[in-house]
Amino acid sequence: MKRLVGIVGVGQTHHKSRNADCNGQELISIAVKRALEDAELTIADIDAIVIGNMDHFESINCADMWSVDGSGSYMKPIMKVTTGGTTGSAIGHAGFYHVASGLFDTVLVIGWEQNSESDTTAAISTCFDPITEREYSAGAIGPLAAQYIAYMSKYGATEEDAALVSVRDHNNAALYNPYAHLRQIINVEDVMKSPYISYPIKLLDMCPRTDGACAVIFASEKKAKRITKTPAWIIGVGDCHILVHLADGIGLPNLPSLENAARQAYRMAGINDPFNQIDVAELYIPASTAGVSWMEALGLCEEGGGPRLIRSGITNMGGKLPINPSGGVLATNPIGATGLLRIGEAALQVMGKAEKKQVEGAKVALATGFGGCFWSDVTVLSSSPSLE
Amino acid sequence: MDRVGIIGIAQTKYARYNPASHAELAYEVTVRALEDAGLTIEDIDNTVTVCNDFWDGRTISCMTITEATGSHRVPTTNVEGDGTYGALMGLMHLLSGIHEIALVVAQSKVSEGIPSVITNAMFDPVYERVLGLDAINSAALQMRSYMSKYGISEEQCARVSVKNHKNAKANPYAHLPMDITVDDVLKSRVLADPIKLLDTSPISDGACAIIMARERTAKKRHARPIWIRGVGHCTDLYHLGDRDLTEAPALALAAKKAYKMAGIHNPLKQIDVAEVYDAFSYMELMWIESLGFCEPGHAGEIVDSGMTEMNGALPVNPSGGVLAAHAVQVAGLARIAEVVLQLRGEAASRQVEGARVGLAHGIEGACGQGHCVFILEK
Amino acid sequence: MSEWVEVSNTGTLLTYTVTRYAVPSIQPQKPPFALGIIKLDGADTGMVHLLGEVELSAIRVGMRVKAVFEEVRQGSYLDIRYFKPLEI
Repeated sequence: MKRLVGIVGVGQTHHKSRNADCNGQELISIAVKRALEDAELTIADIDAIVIGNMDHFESINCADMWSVDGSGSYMKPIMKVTTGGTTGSAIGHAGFYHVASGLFDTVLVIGWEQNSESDTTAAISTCFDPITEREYSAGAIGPLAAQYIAYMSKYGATEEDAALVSVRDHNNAALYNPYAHLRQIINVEDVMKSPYISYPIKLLDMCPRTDGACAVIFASEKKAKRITKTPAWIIGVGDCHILVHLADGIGLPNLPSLENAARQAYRMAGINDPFNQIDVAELYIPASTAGVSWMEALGLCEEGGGPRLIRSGITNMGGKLPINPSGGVLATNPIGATGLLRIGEAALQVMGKAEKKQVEGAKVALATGFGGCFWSDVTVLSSSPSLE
Repeated sequence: MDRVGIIGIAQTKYARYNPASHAELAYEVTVRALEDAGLTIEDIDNTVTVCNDFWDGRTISCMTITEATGSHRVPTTNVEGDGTYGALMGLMHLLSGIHEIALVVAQSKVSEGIPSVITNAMFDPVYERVLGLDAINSAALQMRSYMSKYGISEEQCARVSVKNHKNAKANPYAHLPMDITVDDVLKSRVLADPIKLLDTSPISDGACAIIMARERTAKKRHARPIWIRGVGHCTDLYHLGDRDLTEAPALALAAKKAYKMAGIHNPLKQIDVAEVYDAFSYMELMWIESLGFCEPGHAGEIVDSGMTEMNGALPVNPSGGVLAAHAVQVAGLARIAEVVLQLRGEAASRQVEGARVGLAHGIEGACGQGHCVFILEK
Repeated sequence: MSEWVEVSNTGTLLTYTVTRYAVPSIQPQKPPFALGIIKLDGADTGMVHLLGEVELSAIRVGMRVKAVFEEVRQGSYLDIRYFKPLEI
C-alpha cells in the first residue's frame, strides 16, 4: 500500500550572483524560514531534514553537520544527499522517500549553493576520471555543446531555435519571478550577438552561477491535508544515472537518462500522453540548446520535433504547455538548489500559489533535474492524489 | 514498520593501502554481496551509494562507482555520510513500496588523502579551521572533557583498545588485529593529549555492501533474512563550544527512537551484541552510556567489569570495531554487516553465542555530532 | 537574538589538548601547540582557540584565561593571538 506524499510549503532566497551579506548558514535559514511561513509551520513541526549541495563549491565537509544553526536540525534527524547537478532533485526525491517510507511525517528538504565561493568549472572538472578524462574536460559546458551539435546535425535544429528558449526563460524570469537571479528582457538578436563560450553555446544560452537556497516541505497525507487545503501531491518519481564516462555521452543528440527517468515517473503517475496531460513544466535546462533537444525525451514532441515545438510558441506563457514560468535554470542556478527549485516551482503551480508566475488552472506539473554525467531525475506533481 | 530484511552482505579486508580503485573496491563487494544473497545484479531494483567528495578527491564522487554497483541500471541516489545513513536511505526506498530489493554500497580509499586536511574541512571556515582542528585533536578535546567530568581514567579508555584489537584477531577482515596491553596503550606515542596512538583508529581502505529486501521477497529469496526492527538518527549542535562534549544526547535520542520501534525497553537485557563506532577508545565508553547500557559517567566501571568483553553480558565490538578497521564512510555499514553475521550465526570465531538481537551504530561529523542507530533481529 | 551582548575577554578553560603531530598546511603553529575551549565570562557557550604563554604541562581544566589580541587586526579569528593564563 503506497503512501501519499504532498508538498505543503516552499521557500527560497532572492537569488544573486554573490550573497555578500550572508554566509551559507544564513542563506539556508532564509529559505527555511520562508518555507515554514509558507506552510504556516514552525521548525518544531519538522520531523527530519535532508540537505544537499555540491561540496567542492564551498569546501565544507559534512555540510549537513555544519548546517545545524541554519537548517534548524538541532536534535533532529538530518542527512546529506549529493549527486552533482541532480542534487536538488535527488534531495527532493529523498525527502519524498523519507515520508513515503512512513518513518517521518513532515520533512524539510534544503538545497543550497554559494557558487561565488569557488571556481565552478574547475570544481566540476574534478568529477571526470583523473587518468582518462580530466585533461580535456571542459566542465559542464563542453559536453552540452557537443550534444547540440549532434542534434543540429541530425535534425536540422538551429542556433536560433536555442535562442528562442533563452528568450523565453529570461523574459519569464524578468516578468514573473522576483526571486530570479537574472531578470533581463532579451530578444533573439541579443542572444545571437552574445559571445560564444563553447560553440554553439553563447553567453546568453548558458545558465549563470548563483548563490541561493531553496527549502521544500514534504508531508504525509494526513499531515498535508491538515496543513493546507492544496498540497501538491507527488504522483510520480524517476531517477536515472545511466552514463558515467564523458565519451559515452558526447555525440549523443538526445538524453537517454531523461527518457528513462520520465518513463518511470510517468508510469507511476499514470501519464501516457504527456503533452496533453501536463499543464506546466519546470525543466532543468542548463543551456538553451537543451531546451530544444531534450523535449522529445519527455514525450512532449516527436523525435526531432524540438524546433517545431519551440518555434510554435506552445511553451511560452499563455501557450498550451508553458515551460519554466520561473525562468528556469538559465535565470537562476544555485546548483545544489536548482533541481529542488524545479520541484518547488512546480509545486507552487499546482497549489495555485505561483503568483505572477501562475499558469491558470494548472493541475499537473512536471519537474526535472539534470547533472553530470548526463543524469536525470523526473517528478510529476498534481493538485489531486491521482490523475482522473 | 513493515519488515525489511538484510539478505546479502560483503566486506573487503581493510588495509592501510589497497591498490584497487574506488570502482574495483565497490565492484568486489557488490559481486560478493550478490553471491551472498543468491541474486544477480538484475534482481536489484534500486541502489544507494555512499561516497564523499572530500575523501574521494572528486566532485560528484559517486560517479566513480556508478557502473561498478550497477547504479546505472536502476533508480539510484548517493548519501554523503556514514554508511548507516546510506542503509537508512535504502530502507526508506523499500518501505515506500516503490522498490523491492536495494543494494547499498560504501567505499573508501583513505590512503589517497591526508586525513587531517580532509577532517579539518569539517570545521567552520572562519572560526575553527584556522586553528588546525581535525578529527584527532577535536576528539582529544572531547576525551579530556569527558574524563575530567566523570573521573574516567586513561587506563579505562585503554582497556577498550586492548579489548577491540584482541577481538579483531578473530575477524579476517580487520586491519589491526593485535595483542596489546593497557601499558602498551599508555606508552604509545601521544598524538594530542590525552589521545595516544593506540587510542586511535587506523586509516583504512575498504568497502562494504549490503542488500536488503521487503519481507515477502526477503523470505522467498533467502534462508535467513535479518530483520531491521528499528532505526533512528539525530544530530547535535555544530560548533564544539556550543556542545556539552561530555555527553551524546543526539545518540540517546536516536537510540530512543530505534528502541521504541524495536520494542526495546531494557537494552542491557534485550540486546545480545552491539557494534558501535569507536573511532577513538573513549568513544566506546561515551556511546554505551548514551545507548543506555549504563548510567552516564559509569562506562569506565563497565569496561573494568568485563561486561563488554566477548564472554561478558553484552559484548561490544566483537569484530574489533572501528579501532581495528576504519574505512571512513564504510565503517558504519560494516557495523551493520558484522551484526548481520552475528545474528545469522556466521561470525565464526568472533561469534556471540545465541545472538538474536543486535545493535549497529554509525557517527557523522566531529566528536560524534550525528548518530544513526539500527536494531536488527534474527 | 538581535542585540549585541558584550562579553569579557577573560574566561574559564573547559577543556584543552596539546597537538603533537605536524600537518603544516592546516596548523597555525608548529607542534606542540595547545588548543582549548574557553567559556568567556558573560557568554553561554564556549569558543575554541589557541593557548599561549603557558607551560604546556601546566595547563589545567578550569584554568582562568585571558585573550591576547594582535596589535594589527586583519579581520581574522586569529586577531586573537591566543588565550593566556590569567594572573590572579
